[in-house]
Amino acid sequence: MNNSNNSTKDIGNTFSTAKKQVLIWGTAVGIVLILAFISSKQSYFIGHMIIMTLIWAALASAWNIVGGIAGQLSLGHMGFFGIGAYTSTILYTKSGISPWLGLLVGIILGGLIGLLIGIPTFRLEGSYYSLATLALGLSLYQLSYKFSGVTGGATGIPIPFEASLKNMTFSALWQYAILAGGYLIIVLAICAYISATKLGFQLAAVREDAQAAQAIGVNSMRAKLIAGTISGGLAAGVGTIYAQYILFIEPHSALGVNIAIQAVVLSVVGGIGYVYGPTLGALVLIPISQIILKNFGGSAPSLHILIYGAVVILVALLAPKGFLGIIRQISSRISKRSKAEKND
Amino acid sequence: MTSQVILSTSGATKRFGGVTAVNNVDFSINRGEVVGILGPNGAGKSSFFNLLAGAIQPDSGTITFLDEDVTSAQSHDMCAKGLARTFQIVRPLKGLTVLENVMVGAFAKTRSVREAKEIATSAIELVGLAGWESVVSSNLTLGYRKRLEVARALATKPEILLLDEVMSGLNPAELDSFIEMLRSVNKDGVTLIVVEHIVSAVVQISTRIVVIVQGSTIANGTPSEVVNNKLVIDAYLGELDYEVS
Repeated sequence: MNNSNNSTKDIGNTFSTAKKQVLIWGTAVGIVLILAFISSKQSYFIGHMIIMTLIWAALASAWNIVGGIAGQLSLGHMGFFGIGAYTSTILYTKSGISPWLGLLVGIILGGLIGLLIGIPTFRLEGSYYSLATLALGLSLYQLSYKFSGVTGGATGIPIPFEASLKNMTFSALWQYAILAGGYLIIVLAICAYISATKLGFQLAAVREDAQAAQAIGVNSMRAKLIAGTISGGLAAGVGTIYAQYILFIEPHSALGVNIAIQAVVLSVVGGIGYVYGPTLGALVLIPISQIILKNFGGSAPSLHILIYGAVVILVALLAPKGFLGIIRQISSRISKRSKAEKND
Repeated sequence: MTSQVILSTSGATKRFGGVTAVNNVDFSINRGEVVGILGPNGAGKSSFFNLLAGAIQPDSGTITFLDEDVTSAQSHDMCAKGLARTFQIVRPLKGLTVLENVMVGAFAKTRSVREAKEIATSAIELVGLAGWESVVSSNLTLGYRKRLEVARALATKPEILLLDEVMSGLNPAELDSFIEMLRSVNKDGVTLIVVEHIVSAVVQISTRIVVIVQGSTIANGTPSEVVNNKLVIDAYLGELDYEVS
């Protein structure tokens, strides 16, 4: 058990100092630059793998705000992803509006939908939010077929390749790595900021026990709505970046339910609720799935999904807090041991 | 302190289907008082308590807090106005540490993380949990969880604190130090309402006791008056020899 006579105020170091912040974000920028450099030097396959990892990490991290930090399981984040992808693509291809502006419009739309779906469902405890978000995503998928005049239906929308910064279209992979990596850093910075402030504490309280949180002054409805709005908006932004990278969208790749499942799986495996958990999940799982796809895609087309399932089951059974949970446990054990040795 | 009404109800009534849990209750508590609420199981104590805390709203009647009509206020509104509560079945925010639990309460009155930490640390000291700050709350014993509940509520800087069976389940040693702790909280200027099964604990700590049976108040007076009240003995205490210490 914990030593109750240990009155040293060692709690202060759980809160980051400004210096530590600079170090963390400096490292993050450095890592993205290194990844961009690697993607310019290595094969196309490696470059593509790096960019997909960054894109998925950003989507899973955006999901994590409402699904992990606030504990409201969204099963419909393909909806937000698709809103972002279709908004910027339609604005760009039909009206020539720069995808950068489309990105902003998509983020606002995604946030708005995230807010609107929360208003009726966050009042109710239980799985209503999960089901409502799933319904949102699935109906947007169907609608994208119905309104084929705008969305291109099953044939999708190709985005013309006219490389320029203004068009958010690039000829080299490293440029996309910087785009996706930069966006990931913004998402992570927002997650870290939320976690370290009043809102983060309130969301954690709501996740653990909404009624008890209410009793100590947390407006749980408001906290959940903020989380749902930010998460929806940021997920939509990922959709735009994905569309500009692939330069083609269609219902399955932009609104398929597999997108939402991927976001949940990466978060769960990496460490749900932790700021860097989903990124860690993406770093481990996306390269694995890409390598399997490349090597066995022809002979065993669904093998990567099978292996995904196995990994998820193993993590759920052995490490319910994900990889990051294991790392934290080990590091706290080490620090406790070294503290105990010091005390002896 | 002047005897000024801080919280009152007038004709408060709450029905659940055909059951009238709280029936036309007039109640008031002055600043600085410690009022105990006694009653047998199912008497409506907890329902009445939930009405006061804003967890449920009355079907009729009014609730007034600090000269303001709060009849339809939600629990987080009540908390912001200065009323905090604990739960009968303790509800620590399990995944969070003791410090984090109490900090959530402190955020009711501040935005600053540093300030919240200071408020939380002093509330933790007040309830005797110093040294346990970094322990995850699901690892605490029941007695310590109850202290955590009180610390979390105190961190919201309440004018009045509602304690729902906060002393049941404690062993005699824990009980004594708990009563001592509550007295010092009251001395710091917090008005207390104590709903409790343990008659001796309520008698020890309260300046006034209200007895509720079948949703209505049947007695209201000093501890010795109430314990010797014929109605109360018949309805609740039974024919036991109760000695008021």
